[in-house]
Amino acid sequence: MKLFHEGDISRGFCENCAKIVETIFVRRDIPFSDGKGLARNILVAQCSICATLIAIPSQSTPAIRAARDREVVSLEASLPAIYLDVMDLAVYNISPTTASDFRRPLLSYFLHQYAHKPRSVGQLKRARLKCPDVFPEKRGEAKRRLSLKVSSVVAADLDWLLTATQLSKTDLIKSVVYEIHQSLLEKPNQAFLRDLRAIATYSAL
Amino acid sequence: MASKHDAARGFDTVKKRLLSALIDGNYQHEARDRIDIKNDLLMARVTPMQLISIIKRSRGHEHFASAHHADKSITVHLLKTSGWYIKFYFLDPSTVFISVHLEGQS
Repeated sequence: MKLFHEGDISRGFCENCAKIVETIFVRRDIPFSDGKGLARNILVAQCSICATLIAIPSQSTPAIRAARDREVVSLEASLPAIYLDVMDLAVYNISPTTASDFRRPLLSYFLHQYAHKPRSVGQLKRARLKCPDVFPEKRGEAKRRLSLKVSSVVAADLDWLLTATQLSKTDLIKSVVYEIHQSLLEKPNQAFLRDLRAIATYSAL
Repeated sequence: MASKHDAARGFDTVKKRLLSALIDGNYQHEARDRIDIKNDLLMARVTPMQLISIIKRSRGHEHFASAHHADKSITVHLLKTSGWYIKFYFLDPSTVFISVHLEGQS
């Protein structure tokens, strides 16, 4: 496996010098192209003449991925209070000691699962239609604010689900809470609960 | 003018060299000031092993070659295969990817 070290020399095309140049490997902080954060201290190849960034070697990919995963995105929604009550009750059933700290991992887990499993789009759309049967909504009822920081990976899962289901963010979260209610409170699957308890234990470390 | 046979042989050489770069990890990603989040290989949304299996299945008619826009001595290769768009060039001693992404997501 090819590994570059700081100070190693390679070649690359420099847009600034408009020619093939000698490049030198250095460590630099490089921002992401969407403006959301940066990867710190990664190995890159820069032009030995003008110091323009030329290339990123394959070995920097894990550090870039880790930096991307660390970036957090705000997830905010105002929901009828019953939905947050249900989520908190599910969290309490999984791990009474970690309580509300486990809201973020639980919601992240469900969003990630739905974004990657087949037929989840139809399941979430059907769940949204069933929500009023389980959680009837009345005019002027109390609302609670959901405010979480999720990783950029989960934020991308959420974006994908919003596009695929064509649901609003509030409705999508309602659907996910409906599924949490079904799978953890109404008909709890013991094996699933054990897995989530293990995740709660590790995430509380 | 290159015969069809020569073109096929040319593609075989390109493919072999590209696979070898991915197997050895001897490749770089072209970058201009920023980390291109649309590059699926750079961002680890596709692994080198997955890309190797995609490239192994590619055929000569899915390969296109053209001169680099700013330096005609560099041949830029484009593979459009199995829904993937893989653009790269060879610059000894390395292989440089310009873009790796699923078509329609550029």
